[in-house]
This record gives sequence, C-alpha cells and structure tokens, in this order.
Amino acid sequence: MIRLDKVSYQIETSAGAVQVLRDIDLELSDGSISAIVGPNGSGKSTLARLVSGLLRPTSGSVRLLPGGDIQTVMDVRPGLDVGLVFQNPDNQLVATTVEDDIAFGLENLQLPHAEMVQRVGDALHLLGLEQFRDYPPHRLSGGQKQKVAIAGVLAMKPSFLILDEATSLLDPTNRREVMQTVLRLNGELGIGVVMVTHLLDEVLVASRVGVLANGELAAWDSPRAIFSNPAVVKLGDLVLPLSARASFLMQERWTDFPLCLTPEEFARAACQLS
Amino acid sequence: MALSRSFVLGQHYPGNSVVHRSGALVKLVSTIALMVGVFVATKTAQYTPIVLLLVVGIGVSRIPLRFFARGLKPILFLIVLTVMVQIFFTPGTAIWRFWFVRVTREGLGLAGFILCRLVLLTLVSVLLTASTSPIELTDAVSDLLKPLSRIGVPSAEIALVMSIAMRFVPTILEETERIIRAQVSRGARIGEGSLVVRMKSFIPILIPLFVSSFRRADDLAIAMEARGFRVGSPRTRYHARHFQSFDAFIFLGTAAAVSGVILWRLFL
Ligand SMILES: Nc1ncnc2c1ncn2[C@@H]1O[C@H](COP(=O)(O)OP(=O)(O)OP(=O)(O)O)[C@@H](O)[C@H]1O
Ligand SMILES: [Mg+2]
Repeated sequence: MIRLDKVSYQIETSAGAVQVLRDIDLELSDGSISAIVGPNGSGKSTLARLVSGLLRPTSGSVRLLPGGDIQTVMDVRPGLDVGLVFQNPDNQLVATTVEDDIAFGLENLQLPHAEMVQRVGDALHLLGLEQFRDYPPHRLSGGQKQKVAIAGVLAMKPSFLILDEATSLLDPTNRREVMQTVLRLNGELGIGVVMVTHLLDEVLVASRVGVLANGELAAWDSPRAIFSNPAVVKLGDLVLPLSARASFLMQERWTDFPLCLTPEEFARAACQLS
Repeated sequence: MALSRSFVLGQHYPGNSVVHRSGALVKLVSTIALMVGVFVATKTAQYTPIVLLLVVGIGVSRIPLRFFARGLKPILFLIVLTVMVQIFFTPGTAIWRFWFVRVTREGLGLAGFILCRLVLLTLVSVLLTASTSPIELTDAVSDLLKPLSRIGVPSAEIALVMSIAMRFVPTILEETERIIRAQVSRGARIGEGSLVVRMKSFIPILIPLFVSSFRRADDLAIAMEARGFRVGSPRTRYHARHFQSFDAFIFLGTAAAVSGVILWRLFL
C-alpha cells in the first residue's frame, strides 16, 4: 500500500513560489486500479512523480507500507516500487533495441547477468513482444513502443504501475490493446495500477477515482459516486458517460431511475421501468 | 521516410558468424591496428598481409559483398578524385600523352597505391560496423576509455550518450521530415533560390526541431530517472563479454598482419 499524508508540493519560480499540490491524502491499496483525473495543469503529473518517489513533497509524506504493514514503513524507490510510464512513446525508450531497452532499468539495479537475461525474457513474454526482441524502437508502432516501455518498467518488478496519460497519443486500436494489456497484468500479477487519464473508458475500470482541481484533491471515490456528484464533475472538468447523461434525462421523469455508467446498465434499468 | 532510409548509420548487418560473435573490443582494437598498418605501408605490395586477413575476415563473416560495395559508395567521389589527381599530376616517365594531358608510370603506380589505401580503410571499418551492433560498439569504446576514467573521464557515460544518440537519430530524422512536410504544406519553399534564401528557408525547420529536441531530452531524463538511473552510479551490463576462441584468431591475425607490413617496409 502507498499512503500519502498531507502531501503538498511547491516550486520556486522567478515569479515566486507556486503551490502545485496542497494537502493531498490518499491510499493506494495493493493490486487496486485507480484513476487520477483533472483539468490541464491541475497537478496530475506532479502527483504521479510524487507517488513514484521521483519528487519529494515540500511537506507531508509519501510512504510505502509493504502488504499494508504499518510497522515497516519505507520511502518509495522509483522503478523498484513504482514504475512510471509516460505519455510520449518516443521519449522514454533509451536503447537501440527492444531487448536492450528492457534491460536498461535492470542494469541500473546492478543485477547479475543471468538474472537480467531471465527478467528480460519474462518481460518480453509477458507483453507478447518476443518477435520484436531485436527491433530498433523507431520501427515499432506507438502502441508497441508503449508496451516496450511497460515491459521495461515491469522487468524491475515494481508493486505499482503508474500510467501518466500513457495511451493519450495512441490511435483507438492501439489504445484499447495497451489498456487490455494493463488490465491483464493487473489480474495476472496483482500489480497496482494508477492511470492518469482524460479517457472515460479508463476511469470506468478504476475502483477509485481521484479528482484533482487547482492542486487539491476534490474527491477520492468510486466512479459512480464521482459521476453522481455534479459539483465534482464540474470541478474536474469531466465528460459524463453517455449512459450517465441519459440516466439524468430519465431522472427528470422517473425520479428513482438509477445512475447508469454503461449502456448495459442503462438497458437493464430501462427494462425494469415497464 | 526517404531521408531516414537513405541514411544508414553504422551499417550493422546482423548475423551469427564467428566474426559477429567475437568480442567488440578485440574487433575495435584490431580495426584501429589494421588502419595504422595501412598507413605504415609505403608500397602497394606491402598491403598483402592486410588484404589476406581482410579476405579471410570478409569470407568468414558471411556478409554479402554488395554490402561492402554499398559502404564504398559514399566515398566513391573522393576515390575517383584522388585517383585522377595522382594519375594526371604526378611527374615522371610519360607512357601516354594527349595535348597537354600526360599519364606517367609513377602516376599510375601512386594512383593504385592510394586507391588500395582508401578501399582498405573503408572495408576494414565496414567489416567492423557491419559485424558489430551499435550497442556492442559503444560498450567497446567505453572499455577502451576505461583506463581514462581514473583521471576523471566518464567512460561509461560517454558510451551511454553515444547509444542514446544512435537511438534518436532515426526518430529525429522522421521528425525533420514531418516538419518539412508541414512547412511545405503551408507554402514554405525549402531548398530553392539563392544560397541565402535557401539557408533562411531552413530556419522554420530548425526552430521547431530544436524546441522538440529539448522537450525530448527533458522527458527522457525523467524517464531514465524513473527507471532507477543516477548519473555516476555504477551499473552492470546486460551484454556479457565472453571470450571467444575466434577473438584469439583476430588478435593473432592482426598482430601478424601489422608486423608483416612493418617488417616488409623495413627489410624488403
Ligand atoms: N518545473 C516546473 N516549473 C514551473 N511550473 C511547473 C513545473 N512543474 C509543474 N509546474 C506547474 O504545476 C502545475 C501542474 O503541472 P502538472 O504537469 O502536474 O499538471 P497536469 O495535471 O499533469 O497537466 P496536463 O494535463 O497538461 O498533463 C502546472 O500549472 C504547471 O505549470
Ligand atoms: Mg500531465
């Protein structure tokens, strides 16, 4: 589990100090899927870097509690505890081949050679990238590059994976494929996933959604609770799912019509009306 | 993507021959030694030991000859030019003359000598880069520089920077093409008009390219840090260096060829 306690972050600029994040409290439990949403510049990427240990909070604390154990509290180590995948597939691969790129983090961990070979093989297999082992990154599609980035992060065996708008530059097909891969990894490995996103599909698979607005956590709740709170929806600049909008229209006539997030739910609720 | 395809960097020709599998450091040192050997020779015949070794190396590498021919293409102009200069402007006994042009025996000899020198230098380096992946080559450079790290030369970092540069050459070329297309579609004329106009037309390409490259470098630095990289921290290597028996052959072969050239020059 990763716990954030009253985390604030400010940066010094030439124009003075800017408070990017203020008093963020949240808990990410092991193996869970969470989403972070919010308008541009609301501090989502900054939060992702704080959670992964790349930045230190100006005040407050970010702590790792392995297995939810309160006794052994430690700092988050970037890469080892939390893997971070970024938006632009072209700007996060460092090596001239897929295989070497996956090995990059392992070289930083100073692992023995045999273990590196083992882990690179496992990561290639896990993401279905075996046939691209020798490919240079520029010969891969955007979705494949993002998978290589995920493989490189997973090879370090972190307990959390943070995707900072990692699918936003991909076309819909690649996006769906990367998303499905992430969900499969969550199921198979039990790795905790945090998605910083603008996309509804990604918000709806999360069990917890954090809404950032003006550097504050306006809400930290289930997608259903988030979408049923108009004030939060407005603050977070969220787009409602079509089914939710239709539900609100239905509620104008049938006041007890439930809030539906998917077309399936909506159809079921609509059938029960008659 | 014409630009990125016509620009073949490093010219790696993947394969599994003994030459491919032998150590990059041995190959790099051998290449340097052979180049020195080529410069030591003063007569065409003295190239013989190097040519013999090179023929064996190329044969064993199973890299097709046309790949080597392609490696010679970029310097074809240089070769033709120097050979012409040698043929026509070397004084000596004329064997053919027409109007003011005269070809001398010495000129032909010198031209042949220079031709061999340029071709040998190219073939030796093509064999190295073709049989060695860029990453192995950068590791070898870092090994070669390692003694210098005692006096503060960051050899591992230099190798990393080189491999990152190689990783990004195709990406940046693609980006350049994208920017050129975008500017052309807005009516920019690139590479037309006088020299000054042409130079100016590159400004709208270079500025976006610079901006995006800085952004890229920024992103990359954060991504590397997120994967546990710290400047100056020790790292292990994914590519293990195993000593191959062919390494010894390359080493001894090079030593024999280069000393052969030196002895020939001194005593024959
Ligand atoms: N190094 C920095 N220098 C100046 N301002 C910064 C810096 N880092 C972050 N900021 C500011 O902090 C705020 C939050 O930035 P952050 O990148 O976390 O937002 P974001 O929610 O990820 O935005 P986006 O949706 O565009 O990715 C922004 O207003 C940004 O201008
Ligand atoms: Mg961001």
